Amino acid sequence: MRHIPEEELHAYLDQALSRSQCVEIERHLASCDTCRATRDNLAALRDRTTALLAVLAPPAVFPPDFDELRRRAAAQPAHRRPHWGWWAASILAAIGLGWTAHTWQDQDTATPSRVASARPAADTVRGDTATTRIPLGESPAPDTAAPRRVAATPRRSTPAPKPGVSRPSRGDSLPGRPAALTTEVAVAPLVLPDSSTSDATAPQQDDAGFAGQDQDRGLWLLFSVSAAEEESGAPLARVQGLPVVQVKVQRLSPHEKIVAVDQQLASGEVIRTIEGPADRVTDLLSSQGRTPADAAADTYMAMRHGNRMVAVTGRVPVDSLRALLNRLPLPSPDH
Amino acid sequence: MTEDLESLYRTTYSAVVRFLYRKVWDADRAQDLAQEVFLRAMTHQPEKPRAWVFAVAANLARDEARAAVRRKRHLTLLKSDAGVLPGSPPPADDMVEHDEKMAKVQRALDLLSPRDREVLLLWDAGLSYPEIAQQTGLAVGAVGTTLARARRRLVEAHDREESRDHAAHS
Repeated sequence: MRHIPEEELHAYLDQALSRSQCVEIERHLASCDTCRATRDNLAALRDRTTALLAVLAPPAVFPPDFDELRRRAAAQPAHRRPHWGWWAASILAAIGLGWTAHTWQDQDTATPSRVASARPAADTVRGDTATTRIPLGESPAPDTAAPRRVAATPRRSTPAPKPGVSRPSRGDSLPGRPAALTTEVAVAPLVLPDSSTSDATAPQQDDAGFAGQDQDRGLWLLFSVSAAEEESGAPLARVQGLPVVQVKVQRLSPHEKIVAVDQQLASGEVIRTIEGPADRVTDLLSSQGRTPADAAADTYMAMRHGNRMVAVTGRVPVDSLRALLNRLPLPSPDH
Repeated sequence: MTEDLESLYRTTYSAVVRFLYRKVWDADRAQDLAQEVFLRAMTHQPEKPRAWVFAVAANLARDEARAAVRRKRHLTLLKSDAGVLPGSPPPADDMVEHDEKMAKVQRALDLLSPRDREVLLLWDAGLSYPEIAQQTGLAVGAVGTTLARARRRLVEAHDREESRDHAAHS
């Protein structure tokens, strides 16, 4: 007779299983002495753990008055210190990373100083969301900060991957990538879609201004990780091991969508992974805010596979972006 | 949303402080950080406040630990003592002064892998399997396995030390 695996019993004891799973387990327990004994042992183990951990507690704490907290929150300054990560990124970019042959050394334009002064200071979990906007369409701003996106010159051919090319495992360094890949690096003023406080339950406009400008482009809908994965029938393109702060999906057509996953780094910075059809992702990455104050200078790094692209953006140095990008699975050609 | 946050505050504040305490090992600091966490929650109004709160708490504690290590390293360099490895937890002796019982459990906890420890502490803080999964990047199914292992190791490590002590004193 098959016995219940220990981890399942742990989950059962922790009430982490569905009703039907519990019923099945209980039915088995009713007739199996061995598993009942195991269950009792594991319950005791669980109780001992709780007791041991309870020892590791500070003296009793009483939460300070919530209203006091509210007052403090209201009194907080709107701006925090600006991040200097962008400077590092622009310097790195100016030096050149040898990824692509195109000129983006001229990135050290007036942009840095403009952005440094105008940028709304970022808070940790979410970027300062009040002012960032991203219109989905391309509307290059008439100012000096025109995005200099690297034109993608495929260094190798870009037709469908050769048969037998396997996906690189996580953590592979980039030279191991299959030939059908192009990588673009760009330091460009990038505005992240407004991760505003929309209600997650109903499909909603991301913010009134955005939708107003691009009504026909579709709306960003908020999803949970599991819902998004269930919907697409495939795992989300995200970096394993980082907490997911938000998932947004925009349906471009009945069969096409673009997915943006926000995750939090240990440093508190939020990075965004965008996955979808290459041209759409490119559009998104090269769009700009409507006013100089809106433009947050983020860097991005993208990986293209056939007609799909996955990109990582965030206010982090380019090296970090590269490392993060390495941890993403290849965008699959037929999604 | 603020109402939800208020009730979350009331119901999880102690759990957050405990969670932080087990990382920074300083009661006052744990309280300060807990306040900071909820302050940020008020500003950001996250959609899943409970999981968010613990994610931010973990990050604040980590920043704290790094800063402490940097300070310590700076001091030890000045004093030319043996250096402290970045990322390693402070030795158990430094942390809790006089309570031997606590120190024993602390040492046992230290023996767990960082991931096992994190999952265990999050579970002890009251998070559900899906919440733990999301914060740690594990699959929901793996949470049970990790907890099974973590619990066993904690208890065994603690009991080993207990029996060693008894043998020594007998």
